[in-house]
Amino acid sequence: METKAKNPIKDPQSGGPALAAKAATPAAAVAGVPDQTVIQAIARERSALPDEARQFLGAHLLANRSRALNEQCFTQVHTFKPLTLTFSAVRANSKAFLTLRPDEAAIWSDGGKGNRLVGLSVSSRLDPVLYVSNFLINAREMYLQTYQDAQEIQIDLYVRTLQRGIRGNVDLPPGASVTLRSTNDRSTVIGVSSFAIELGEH
Amino acid sequence: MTTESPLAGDRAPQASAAPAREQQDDGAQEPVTLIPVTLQFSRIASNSNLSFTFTTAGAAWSLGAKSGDSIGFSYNVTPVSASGQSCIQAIEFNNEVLTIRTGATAQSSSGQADNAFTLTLFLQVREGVDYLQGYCTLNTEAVVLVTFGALVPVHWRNGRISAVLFAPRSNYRPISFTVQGARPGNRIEVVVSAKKGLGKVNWSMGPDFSESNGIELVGQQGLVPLTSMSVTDTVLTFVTTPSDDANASSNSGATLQFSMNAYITWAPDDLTYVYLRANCNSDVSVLAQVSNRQPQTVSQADTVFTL
Repeated sequence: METKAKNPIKDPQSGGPALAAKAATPAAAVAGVPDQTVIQAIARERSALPDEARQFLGAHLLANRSRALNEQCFTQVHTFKPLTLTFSAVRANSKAFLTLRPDEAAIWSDGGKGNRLVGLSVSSRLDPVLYVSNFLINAREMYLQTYQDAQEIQIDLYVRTLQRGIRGNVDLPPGASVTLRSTNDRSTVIGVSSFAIELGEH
Repeated sequence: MTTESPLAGDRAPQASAAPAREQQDDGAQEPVTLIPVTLQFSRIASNSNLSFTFTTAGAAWSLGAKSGDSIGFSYNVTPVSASGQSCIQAIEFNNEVLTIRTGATAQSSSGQADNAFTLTLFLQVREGVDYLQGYCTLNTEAVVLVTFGALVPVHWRNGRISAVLFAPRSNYRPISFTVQGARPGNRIEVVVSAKKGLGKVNWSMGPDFSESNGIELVGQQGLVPLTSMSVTDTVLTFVTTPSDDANASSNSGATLQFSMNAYITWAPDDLTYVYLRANCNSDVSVLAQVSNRQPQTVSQADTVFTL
């Protein structure tokens, strides 16, 4: 009883910190800090597993080997080398794939920061619209899916790398081809192929 | 790299250096945050130029830094994307500008504004930037619904645009899925789980005390075709409306379709993947997308989704 009576008198004296501390405790409890009982339940499940299963619990960390390399390119490399990819004669209802090899220290990029007007573009100069039902470009892969015969689909982008050249793979439908053009090199491939292209210094 | 100095006093000499150098210094000094962005365009006119320009320093469009199952820069890939013919002739983004040139599509020679599509890309912001301003040029009927990370979507129309940004919470992800091919009276369960011994995962309404979007159910044929829906920690259950005799004769072959947006939350924080499983008839297809990863069909067995 005495302590309760004292508290209201103390509070105004000690001021902000006491109030702030009081408010912070329930907020932290509500805002998703995992409950100890959940953590304990997970630990119990883990200890109930057979030895062999427990040994390979962290195996998924090896699954995406490009992840660290992508992150490294994104934060540490500040050299951007322009590249133009031209997909030609991609027939209707087919899919064209193009990827950088997972061990290349290079990622696709929009060119990073700076006062540029040219970034990453996807366009067609020959067809009235891009005959694609969907497309996707991430740090290493790209695909295009057509719904009608496409004469040309051109992708202009940058390669974020310090390497002098890059290697990758394509998977194209029959009849289609892709031409890669950098500042000083050109390569055209068809079908399921690999490619290598010089990017030059700078 | 050796000549670069993190000291603030070096700013002025750096600015007067060659343009190529300036670009290097900019990127090297500032830690950036990448926020996934989804833009849902509707009522876009043919034969026009659309553009979005940011005027907030430190905010820029980006391709992102992830490969593999990351969605990156994409067009009509998400589960709720409109399908059909494209209206885009060219699309380009650089630092602060996103430009789309629409072409003349076959069915809209009258110039009607009826095109719809979905784009995804990333927003790169300097640490500490918590809002975004800019302007966009669109036809007057056009509406763009823009979702930043796990926040409630904002509406952008022709004119000034803005958005409030919050740092993403580490152990919540938005998840959206579309159920297709369901028949009247079907029962569909979507179960979320994690590998035993690695962690626990639950359905959620989104982070507490934030601008989260909660759980949203959308009927894609006008009405939501359900008699019941229930959410427990790990199981979402839907029961579709039983066929009505009067309607059954008119559309006996018709299938039902609906979509849902919700969240998942997990412990411990460093869990990297979860499983989704659909318990339903095998001609029902469930296409799910977790945050900014590529959508995947959920099987009747555990299907891996990275976080």
